[in-house]
Amino acid sequence: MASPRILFLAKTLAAALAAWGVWEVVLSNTVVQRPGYVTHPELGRIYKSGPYTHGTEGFSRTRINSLGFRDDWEPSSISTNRRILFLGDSFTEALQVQDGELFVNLVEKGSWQPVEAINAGRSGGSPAFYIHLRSFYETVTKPDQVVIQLNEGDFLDDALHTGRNFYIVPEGESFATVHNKNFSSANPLMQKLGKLRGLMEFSTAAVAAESVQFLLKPTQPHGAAPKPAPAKASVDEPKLRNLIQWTLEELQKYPTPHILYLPTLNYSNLDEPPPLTEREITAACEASKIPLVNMRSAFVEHFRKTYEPAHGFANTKPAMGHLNEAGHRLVARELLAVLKRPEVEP
Amino acid sequence: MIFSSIDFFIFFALVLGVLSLLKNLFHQKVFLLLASYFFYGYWDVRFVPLMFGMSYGAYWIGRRIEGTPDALTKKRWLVAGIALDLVVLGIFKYYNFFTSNINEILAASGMRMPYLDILLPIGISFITFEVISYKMDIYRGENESASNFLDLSLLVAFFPHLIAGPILKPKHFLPQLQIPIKIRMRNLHDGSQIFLFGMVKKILVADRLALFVDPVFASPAQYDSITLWAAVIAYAVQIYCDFSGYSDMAIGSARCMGFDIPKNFDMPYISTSITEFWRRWHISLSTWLKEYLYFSLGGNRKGRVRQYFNLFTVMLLGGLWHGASWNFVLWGAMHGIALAVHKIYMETFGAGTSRLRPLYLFVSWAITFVFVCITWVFFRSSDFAQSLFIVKKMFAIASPQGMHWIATSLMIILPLVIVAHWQGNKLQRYYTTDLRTFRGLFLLFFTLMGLLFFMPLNSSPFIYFQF
Repeated sequence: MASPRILFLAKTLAAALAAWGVWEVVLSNTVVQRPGYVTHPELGRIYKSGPYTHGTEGFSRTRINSLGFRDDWEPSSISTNRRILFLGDSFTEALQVQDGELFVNLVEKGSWQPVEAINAGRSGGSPAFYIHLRSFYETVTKPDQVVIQLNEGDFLDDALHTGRNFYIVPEGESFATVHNKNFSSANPLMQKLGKLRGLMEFSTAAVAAESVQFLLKPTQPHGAAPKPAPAKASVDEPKLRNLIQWTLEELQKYPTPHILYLPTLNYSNLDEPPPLTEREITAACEASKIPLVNMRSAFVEHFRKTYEPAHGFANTKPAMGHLNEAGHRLVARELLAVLKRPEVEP
Repeated sequence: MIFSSIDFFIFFALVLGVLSLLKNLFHQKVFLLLASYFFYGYWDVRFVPLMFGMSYGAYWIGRRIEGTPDALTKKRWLVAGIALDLVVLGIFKYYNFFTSNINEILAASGMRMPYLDILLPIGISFITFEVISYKMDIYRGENESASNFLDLSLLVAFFPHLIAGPILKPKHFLPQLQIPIKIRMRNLHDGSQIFLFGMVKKILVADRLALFVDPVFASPAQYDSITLWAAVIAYAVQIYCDFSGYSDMAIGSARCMGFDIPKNFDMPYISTSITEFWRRWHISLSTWLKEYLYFSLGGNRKGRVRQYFNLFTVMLLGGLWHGASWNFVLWGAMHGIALAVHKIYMETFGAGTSRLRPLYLFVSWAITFVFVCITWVFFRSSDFAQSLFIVKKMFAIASPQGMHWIATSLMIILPLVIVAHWQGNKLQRYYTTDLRTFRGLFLLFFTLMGLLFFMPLNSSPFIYFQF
């Protein structure tokens, strides 16, 4: 007979495991379930294929394919339909909305001719990724048309950040892209975890890690003056202009490229003038004759008419963050209008 | 150091450990006092001398009141003691408020009073009420003065209740300091569970609701009427879970050390009248206001009109006690008027035959709840203009248009509120889950893990800390 103390310890352990098991099931179905990561020789660090649940901003339960895309499409799939490749960051990947509600899916459904839309949107993506991986994407997906989604952050930080998987560096008078082969994660905690990163495939571990990071953050002492926000680095206008021009020249090498620009709106001041990046992208697109779909006026008009912002979700602050279902519908509507134009159709 | 922080858990474990090692009551009390001062000084060490001074002043004046046979001299000592407390409170909490109002009046004349560059000591209002009630009890003969300064210091500084109450009655707490402290398993078992449920209310309910409430109150013009209603109701739940959660944590941590602190809330939102609401909401404050302010003003002994006036005055001052702002004054005034109106209603119509009818009870509950929610708008808003705007928009007097946002978190939280409320109330009646069983252990681990997983990443301080 085991002693009462051992029995109690066994009961405690069983209770803890049972509680953990219940939470794992609950969290993986409602909050987060990530399939983990693999390093692809060309694409860098991508999601493993498998189910993905995202519930911290909006909600979706979806699948990741063998290239880390949020798409059912596989390189082996055979189709004679026209192919549109969508490149972009988390706004195109759109883990915040359910399958079928993404602008990529809506374009596929609403197109005037049968098309196959491939969503190669990737969280943390930037023009550095799209430029560096052009030949890979063209070879593997064989697109007839490419829609490249850009936003303001792409040129202010994302594309130039040396801590990313791919980034842009100045090279003489021009620029070049770099594949950071030592990249492990953009998250400092993940970098510290090393080989224990695999634990993050457990939903409970992933959620707990965020809480622990918060708990370990130093708290502000009572009465202390709040820390001033870090000053925004001033934008080097000529450098930004050159970078945007070079980027668009590179992106123009894709077959029939279209640029989709998604602005960040200040819904409490819709008349705020567009930022410099947006103006430069518009000018560069005009100069290089790349069709541009800028969503600013569509988002603004829709909000003025309906009070429905294109950004934000019921479980986060509305008008902030990623595109919601309404935003995706508006993007699809604008894209379909442009993609239907006879002059851009073969 | 707030109850829901890692710092507090380390601190509390050390306090329990040392208390269990100390066998001498005097040593235990000295240690508990030092620990309480450390707890208070953790926010800002500059506040510690102030608390010490207020405690010593109360002890010294209490002795004078008790030691004086002459009634008039007793009264003079009492008045002097209370005046001193109110001067301290006035300087730290209200000086700049009154100065800004006087400066507005004097603006035309070009005169200007200087502002004081001072920090509001945390929990100053609770400390003031504690020392005032100590002196008044001695004056009224309801309590003897503390046998030594150590006991009185502990009454004021006892860390579980120090920052936001519950306000302890000297006659209830001082006798507990005469019994040696024993850290018993039973107390730890019960106290830790009461504490844990307080944490659930604070972290899982109040802090999550804040994610929805704060943006709506920050820019109400952006949201539609329905969203404003949802945010106001959510705030009613948030402030209840925040404050009663804190009280549960105070009661639970005190229980772990073997002390008994009376409950501060008793399901206030089921009240069917505003009078009942104040019997169930922040019980230690409403009791304090009744015993030390309402009775002192004459209560109901000086005629009906005077009684209504007293009710109004007590609530007006109760509102001002919450903070140096006209919004709090207005909040108090609205409750004062409502109490007087309910009194008149009851005296006119009495507990009529219809009282027991379910419809009557439902309507009474709905009126009370909606009234309380609307007054919370004034409590929560940054200024009077914003409060008025929210109320107008709620009733579609201003444009009801705006973004529609009823957070799903609200839907997740409502069942939690019911469970926490129901279980919390059971716990206050000393019902606890047996942690020797699998069920009890499962519930414990499930709750602890839930706290870790659903902790909002922008945890806010306890709302009542500012008072």
